[in-house]
Order: sequence, then structure tokens, then C-alpha cells
Amino acid sequence: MTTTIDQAARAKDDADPRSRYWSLLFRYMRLERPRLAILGVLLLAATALQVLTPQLVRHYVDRAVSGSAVHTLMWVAGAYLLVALMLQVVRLASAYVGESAAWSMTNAMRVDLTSHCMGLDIRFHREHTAGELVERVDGDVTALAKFLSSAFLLILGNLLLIVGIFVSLFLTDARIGAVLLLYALCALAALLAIRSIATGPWTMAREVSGKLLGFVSERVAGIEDIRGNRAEGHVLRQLDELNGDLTRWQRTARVRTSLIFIVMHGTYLLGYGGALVVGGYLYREGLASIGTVYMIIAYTSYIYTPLNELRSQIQELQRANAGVRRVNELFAARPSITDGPGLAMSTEAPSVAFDSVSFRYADHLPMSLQDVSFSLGSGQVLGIMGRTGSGKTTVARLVTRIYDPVSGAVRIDGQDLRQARADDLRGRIGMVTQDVQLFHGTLRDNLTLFDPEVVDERIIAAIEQLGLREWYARLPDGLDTVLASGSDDLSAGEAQLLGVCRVLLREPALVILDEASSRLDHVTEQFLNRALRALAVGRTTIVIAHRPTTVSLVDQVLVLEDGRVVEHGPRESLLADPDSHLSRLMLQVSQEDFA
Amino acid sequence: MSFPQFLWRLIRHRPWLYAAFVTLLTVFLVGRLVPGLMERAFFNALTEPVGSGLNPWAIVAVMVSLELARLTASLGSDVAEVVFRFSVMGRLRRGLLHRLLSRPRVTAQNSSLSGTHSRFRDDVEDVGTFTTAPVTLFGTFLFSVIAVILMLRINALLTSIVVLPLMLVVTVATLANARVGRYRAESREATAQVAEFLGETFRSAQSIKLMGAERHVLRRFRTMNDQRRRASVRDAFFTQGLDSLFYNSVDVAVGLVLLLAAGPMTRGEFTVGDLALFDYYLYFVSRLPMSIGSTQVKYRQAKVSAERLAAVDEADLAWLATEPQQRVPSDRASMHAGRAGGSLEALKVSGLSYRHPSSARGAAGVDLYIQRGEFVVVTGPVGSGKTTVLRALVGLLPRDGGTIRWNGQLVDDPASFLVPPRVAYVPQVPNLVSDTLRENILMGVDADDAELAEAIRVAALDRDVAGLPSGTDTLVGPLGAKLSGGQAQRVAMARALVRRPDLLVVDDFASALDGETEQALLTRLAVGEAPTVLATSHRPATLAAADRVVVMADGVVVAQGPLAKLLSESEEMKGLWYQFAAEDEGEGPGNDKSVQSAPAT
Repeated sequence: MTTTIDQAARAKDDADPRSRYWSLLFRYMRLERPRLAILGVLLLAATALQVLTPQLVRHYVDRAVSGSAVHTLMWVAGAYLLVALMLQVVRLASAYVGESAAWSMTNAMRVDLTSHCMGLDIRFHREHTAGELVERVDGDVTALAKFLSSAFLLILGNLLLIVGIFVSLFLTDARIGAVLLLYALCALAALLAIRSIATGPWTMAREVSGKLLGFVSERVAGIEDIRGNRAEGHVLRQLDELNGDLTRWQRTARVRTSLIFIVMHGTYLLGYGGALVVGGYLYREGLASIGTVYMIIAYTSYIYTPLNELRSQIQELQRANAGVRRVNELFAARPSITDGPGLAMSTEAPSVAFDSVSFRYADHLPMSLQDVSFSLGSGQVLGIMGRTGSGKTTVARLVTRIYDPVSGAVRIDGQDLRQARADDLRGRIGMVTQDVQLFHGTLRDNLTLFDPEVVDERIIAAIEQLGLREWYARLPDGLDTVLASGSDDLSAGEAQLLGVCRVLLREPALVILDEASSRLDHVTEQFLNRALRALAVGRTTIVIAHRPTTVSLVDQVLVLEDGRVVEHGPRESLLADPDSHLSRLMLQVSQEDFA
Repeated sequence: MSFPQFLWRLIRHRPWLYAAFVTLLTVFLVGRLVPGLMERAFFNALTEPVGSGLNPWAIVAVMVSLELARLTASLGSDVAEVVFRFSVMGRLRRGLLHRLLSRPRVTAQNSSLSGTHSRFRDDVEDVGTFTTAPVTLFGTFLFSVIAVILMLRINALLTSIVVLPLMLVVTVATLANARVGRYRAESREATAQVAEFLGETFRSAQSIKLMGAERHVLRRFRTMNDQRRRASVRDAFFTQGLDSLFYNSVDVAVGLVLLLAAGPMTRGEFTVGDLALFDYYLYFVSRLPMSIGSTQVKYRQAKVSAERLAAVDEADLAWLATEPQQRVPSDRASMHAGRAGGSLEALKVSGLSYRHPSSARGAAGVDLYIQRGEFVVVTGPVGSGKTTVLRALVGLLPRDGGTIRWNGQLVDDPASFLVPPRVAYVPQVPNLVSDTLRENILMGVDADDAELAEAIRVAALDRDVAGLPSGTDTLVGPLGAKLSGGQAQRVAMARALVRRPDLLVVDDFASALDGETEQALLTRLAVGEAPTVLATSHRPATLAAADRVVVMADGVVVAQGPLAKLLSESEEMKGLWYQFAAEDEGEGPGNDKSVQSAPAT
């Protein structure tokens, strides 16, 4: 389902915004056809009951004035009460069904959006904070949920009610029906004309609100930095500015919305005044009974109430409008990495080769890698070394196809990586990043990344393989131990161990380890070395080495400088050559040793 | 401070705006009495013989004009409401951030990022909404009282019989609301969980993609969504169910009027005009229980939210209301105040102790002495308490014991005293923000381009800046993601330097830098008007550059003195030196998470 919706969105990309807007809604409404059908029936019932009540009052008034027996009046009043109670039941039922349908639809949308965002490349994720994406996937969609669950129903129900009222009016008296129809058309025209005057400011208000929350999240994460630099005042003043912006946009949006209300209510007043005058005239001329006049006035406010509700729901609609627009924008974001025809991936550890690879992050930037060539045999361990900014991590990003090279080719088992489909690489290439992000959840979920097919025995085996048996034994609830995200409990090294464990469970044939650059304590260091050894068995491995002891674990060393290969070869032969970069590094250290 | 007192404090922030809002909204709500009376007069005039009563057409004209005036009041009250509410919400956010900024440890322990999100968004909104919600209740109440009096004067018996069931609804609503509050809490909890999970997912997007775990993550997301749907549907069903109960009570009330008026109407004691007035007023009078009910619900939500906001510091509500009033001094003013106590001649730390509650590790009885112009490096194995000493010194950890003297003057609260321009602290892993590099360095300091360039040069960041597409105006991405760890560390260094501190406190000096950059940094720091530096480090080059080295082990100082002396006398230092040198051999790399050529935005 996910992919179909995604493809549909893609196909609609060139369509005009309005049709994209509705197609988004209809796509998700189709998923809830049964509930929506029930809802339709309930709405029709509610409409019929509501249209009936002024007719009952008309009978009542006319009979009261003409001096009918008291018990006849009592029967009419009883019928009125019964209708009121039935309406109550119908409304409750539609509230329940409506909410359920709205949440099911928007949940589907949340899942699709999340899936879509996960399909976008890292470029996208670097441009958008997690907080911002949460605001879009959850904040905007929740606005839509509110709209679908209440506003949408009310709008539909109210339109039905208006139709019902006119049917009833024309059956009673065509002249009065005509007058009120004129009023309703004017009101509707006014409503449509000014409907969208508040959309722009609402969009801005939401955007500023998202910006403000992103600002706050980042500042809260950096509290110590702010305090340490005595920037509290500065940060609070920036917050004041954002708060001011938000208030201004909210005010503009509210004024526009109020204007809509004023226009709507003003139109109603004219219609109401007109109804009183026409009704009064017809009564005076003997063309209508007093009960009919009473009914006209009741219907006028009955038309007004739905129109007024339409007005008040416009606010939700406008919020939803803004939400839909932003959801569509998000759906329209395209990954820059596209699938090729596919790679033949064996289960064996693959060979990796860089064939004159050059790469830059954007057109106007200098090359981050220039004419980099090297090859790594099946099952070998490569250590990449180099200064900050020399291009080490860029190599890792090209091997994992987070980016494609500008020229040259990255080859896995001799095949150009551009030929790959995303699925080919999935689970075949494992990567342990420098900072391993944990989920607030159990150790099991953090290691399997929610894959239920990984049995506990395998997880425990992996933990033991990494030499973490004792650590595991100390956990209070074993695999069910809850880890907090961003917690202080785990050091960067320990988090990396969990990252290695994650990768180990996926059993990839090619592994990239970007070592944590922060300092590790001795014990963790030993664990990581052991983990790296365990990981490298039967796999092709690339280590971006930050730790000196790692050097002893690799077969080959690649030294980068300013995006160029300055040295590449087997570790032993490089160490044997006194003029090699690697040897000079060693020499430098031993000199310092006796300084 | 009780919750109502708290609300009152919030309202008093902008009394005139609030008064305007209350007046205009009351005029709008109570003004609803007019059309009812006019409708009654119209029907009465119509049914009486022509010429004997008021002119019905004149009545219509007056009514329409008065209603147009009332509409104008509604525009005014809307604007006043939104401005007031958002200024209250702004104050709450500001107060909350202010509080978090003054209590760093509490934050790190108690709030995850997404928790912050829902506090700053939902909880603040709940409280803000409630500051204006009671006015609607007040206006509706005033209208209802007058309307009921008018109805009583028309037909006392009928009015009392009809109004009673409405009061019954109030009771039912009050009882049912407790339940709604619980459902609301459940739905909020489910929502917070979904938001947290989403945040974590997007933060680890790269790992999830590489692991091919999207499917599993999405499945978990669906499960959480389902839980939230159930909670939210239940919440909404009961809330809307109550609303609809209130709403429909008017139809029932009108039905009762029809039933009871049957006799009086046939006898001519109750006119069609009276019926019109009852019909009109009962609709709005029935809003009263609805208004009471929803105000109650909002009250509960706001109270829960306010308590959650206050719980950030386990404090009561008083600070939430008062904190926003405290003005933070301007940076310039605080810089001047910062000079009190004189520029650094000597900093003396005696018996400094801090024990981490969770691990029982820390530092005990640490003595340190730094003179103006010195470069002192604290070293030791991981877990020896180096970082703890630095953090306790600058007040990021509450010390358990010990004294700190600045030029001999006792420092009570290092968190407010040992800050720029006296002391600047450079953390091991700085937190950058998604703004320009310039903003990340300056953070409000009023420095010109030359001063900025100088700080960048001394921090050995000049080459990196030259490689950036827009120089110091380059956006560094969310949490500084476009910079490498080493670059981020030097940004933090430049940030500290641009504040021209007397004392620079650096945690894990040059840990993410390669040897060459480390050397450049050491050289540039040492020339000219060099600041006094207290750093922790495990890097041989940094230790070699130090005037004095302090060696720590298991939370206590085991040796200190010039490096050469320690290398010959201290076994601990010898062991460490050997280990550090071995570690350094594989170096060269720092971490080049992203490179100077980060994509531009």
C-alpha cells in the first residue's frame, strides 16, 4: 500500500495544486469506505430529523392560535421531544464513527509520510531537523485529523441540512423558499469569496511555530554551552523575537478569520431581516399563517447555524489546507539517488573498488575526493586514515551509496554501484556510525531495530560474540531492559558496541565502521577491538580509524590527504618502508615519547 | 501558589489588554439578549391589530443595526484575545527556557528532546488557552442570569420547570468530566510516545536505511499509532459526547416548553412572541452548562499542564508565573558586571568534591592553583575525575564540598560567577545550533569582524572557514551536523575566545583534532596576550606545552608539577605518558564527519 500511494503521488506531481490537494484526501478516504458509508447514513438521519422540527413547531403554533384541544398540542410537543432524543443518539454514533475513521486515515498518512521521509537520502535529513519533521508528520497531520474527524463531518452534514431545509421550504411556500434561497446563495457566495483569505497567515503561523519549537529543542540540548558562554540573555532575546513573530502572524490570521465571521453574520442579518419583513407582509396580507412565519424564522436561523458552522469550520479547514499543502510538499521531495536495474549480490564477502572516483557535495564546492582509486579484496580489512576533512567519511558515504560519485565509479564485486537498487544493498552493507542513536525502548528493540524475526537466542549469541556477556548479565531485565534515548547511561563507545551488535545481527557481507572519535576508557576500548575482530570475520571490512590500536587489526591502509590518496598498501609493507606516511607517523610518536 | 493564583498572575501581565478583551467579549455575549426581545416585540406587534402597537418594520430595522454594532465588538475581542493569549504563551515559553538555562543538570536528567517538544507546545498551549476561556463562561453566565429573569417574568412556573433539567445536565457533566480527564491523559501520553518515536526514527534515519529496517520501524510505528488512535477516539468520543449532550439539551428544553405552554397558549396567556423569546433564549442559556463543562475540562487540562511545566524543576507554580517577569540583563551589562572581582591574578580551589549519584565515582578533595598566564593541564585515566573537577569548578555540577577563591575572594555560586568574561568553558562535545557559523561563535557577543576573525584564527578554524561556501555566514545544519567533530570543537574554542576570558577552561583539549591542528592551536594560544588556560587532556603535545600538569587517579590528585619533573618522579605520569603516546601513534585523523565542503543551503 505504501508504495502504491507513493507512486500515485509521484504520478500526480505535475498536476495542479488543487487537484493534488483533493487527490491526497481522497486517496486516504478510500481506505475507510465502510466507516464513511455508515457515517453517510447517520448524517442523512440527522438531517431528516433536524428538518422535521420547525415543521412540528409550525403545526403547534397554528393549532395553539386556532384553539385546538390541549391534548392535540401535547401530542405534537411529544413528537418534538422524541425527535430531539433520537438526534442525540445519532450524533453520538457519528462522533464515534467519525473519529475512528479520521484516525485510521491519518495514521495511514503518518505511516506513508514517515516511510517516504525514510526513503529520502541523507541530504534531505541534513536539511531538516528531526523536530521539524516530527512537526510535519505529526503536527500537520493531526491538524488534518481534527479536520477530518469533526470539521469535515460538520461541513458535509450542514450542506445536507441546507438542502433539506430548502426542500421543506419550497414544499410549504415557493415564494418564501425563493427569498431564503436568494439569501443562502448570497451567503454562500460571500463564504466562497473570502474563504481563503486567512490561509496564508495560518501557514505562516504554523511555520513560525515549527521554527520556534525547533529553536527551543536545539537550545535545550545546548544548555551547558549557553550557560558556559553566558548567552542566556541572547537566547532569550532570540526567543522573544520568535514569540513576537508568532503573535503577529496569529493576530493577522485571527483578524482575517474574524472578517470572515463578520461578513457571514452580516449576510445572515440581512437574510433574517428580509425573512421577518416578507413573513410579516404575507401574514398581514393573509397569505401565510402565523405558524408559517414562525417556521420561516426558525429555518432562517437553521440555515444560518450550518452556514455559521461552516464559517467556524473554515478555520479548521484552513489549518488543514495549510497542513495538506505541507504534507504534499513533503511527499513531493525526491531522493537524488535513484535505483538502477539491480546488482547481482552474492552472499560472499564482496570485493570493493574505487575507480578514479571524484566527488563534491555541491556544484560550487571544491572536490572532496579527487581521482581516488583503490581496491579491496574479498574478506579483507581496510583502515582509512587521514586528517580532519581529508575525505574519510566521504569514502564511507560513497560505499554505502548515500551519495553517487560525480565521476568515476564505486564497484562492488566489479559492478558499478549506480546500477544498484536500494533493496540490493539493504542488509548487505552494514555501517556503524560515530554516534549511534538509541531508541527509548528495550535493549531487544534497539538491537533488532524492531525486527520480530530475530530470536532472543541470536541476540544473546551476538552479545556474547562481542564479549559482552558480563555486561549483559548485570542488566536488570535482560533484553527487556529499557534504554532511554539520548541517555547519559551509555558512553559513545558503549553505544558503538550496541551499533556493532546491531550490524552483526543483520549479517552483512560488507561492513563499514566509523569509529567514535571521542576517547574511550580502557575497558570499552578492548571491547571495541574484540568486537571489530568478531565483525571482520568472513566479511569485507572498512574501518575509519580514529584509534591507534585499530591499526594492528587491518590488512591494508589507505591514507587520504585533501581528498587524494597519498598512500595505499598492505600494512606490513608500509610499516617496512621507513619513508611511508604510516612509518613516519610511528616515528613521530616515538620521538615525542622521549621528548 | 495555587493554580488560580497562578492564572491571576499571568493575567496581570497585560491588564489593560485583558480588560479590553473582557469588556468586548462580554458586550458581544450579553448583547445576545437584544434579538430575543426584539423578536418577541415583532411577533406581538404583528399579531395585534394594525396600528395598535409598535411598528414591526421599525423593530426589524433597530434589531439589524444593533446586531451590526455587536459584530464590531466581536472583531475587537478576537484580536485582543489572540494577542493576549500568545503573549502569555510567549512568557511561559520564555520562563521555561530561562528556568532550564539556569538548571542544567535537571534538564539533562529529566527531559528528552521530544519531551521538551510537547512541553513547549501542548502544555504551554493548554495553559494559554485557559487564561481566556473563563471569560466566555462569565459572559454566558451573565447573559443566562438576565435571560432567566426575563423568562421568569413572562411565565415563572414554566421557566422554573424548564431550567431545572438544564441544571441536572450540569451535574451529570461534572461527574462525567473526571473520566474525560483520564482519557485525555491517556491520549496525551500516547501522542507523546508517537512524537518521541518519530523523533528518534528521523535522527537515526541513516542507520535504519542502511540496516534495511524501515519495514520493522514502520510496523512498530503502526502499532503505536493504533494505540494512540484507540486512546484518542475514546477521548474524543467522551468529550464530544458530553458536548452533544449539552447541545441537544436545548431541543429537549424547547420540547418541554411546547408541552407546558399548550394550556396557557390556548388560553391566550402565552403569546407566539413569548414562545419566540423562550426558543431564542433557551438555546443560549443551554450553552451555559456546555460552557461550564468545557471550561472545567480546560481547567483540568491547564492545571495538569501547568504542573507538568512546573515539574521541570520540582518547583511549584510560583516561578512559572514570576520567572518571565525577571529581565535578563543585556549581554553588555552582564559583561560589565562580570568584571567585578578584578581580572584574574590567581584562582585557588581547595578540597573540591563531587560524587556522581549513579556511579559513586567523582572527585574528592581536589586542590588546584592557577596563576595568571599559566597553562595548566589536568590528566589521568578515563574515569579519574578530570572532567568532574572542571564541571564542578564552573558550576555545571553542584559541588559537595570545597572552596573556590578568585583573587582570594570566595566564590559562592560558580555557575553565575565563573562565566564570561572571567571564565569561558569549552565542553568536550559542543552543541551547535542550526544557524550560521557566525551566530554559533558570537552567540550574542557584540564583536566586530576583526575580533571574530582573530578568535577564528587563534582557534585554528581559519582554514576551515576559508573552505566554507559562505564563510562565517554558512549554515551549519541541525545541531551543527554539517561540521565535523573537530570543527565543532574549534567552533566552541572560537566561541570562548571571542569572549576574551581571563581564564579558558577546556574539557578534553584537542581530542578530536589531528596533530597538526593541535599544534597550531597550542602555538596560537601561547602568543600575545595569552589567556590563562585550565584544560584536561590526554594528548602528549598538549601535556608538553603545559606549564604544569596535574595528575589524577580515582578522583584524587596524585601528583602535580612540570611535565619533565613528573616524568622522572611520578609512576602514574610515566604510565599515562606511555599509554597516551601509543594512542597517538595511529592518529592524524580527527573525525571528519562532514568536511569543510559541506553542502550549502
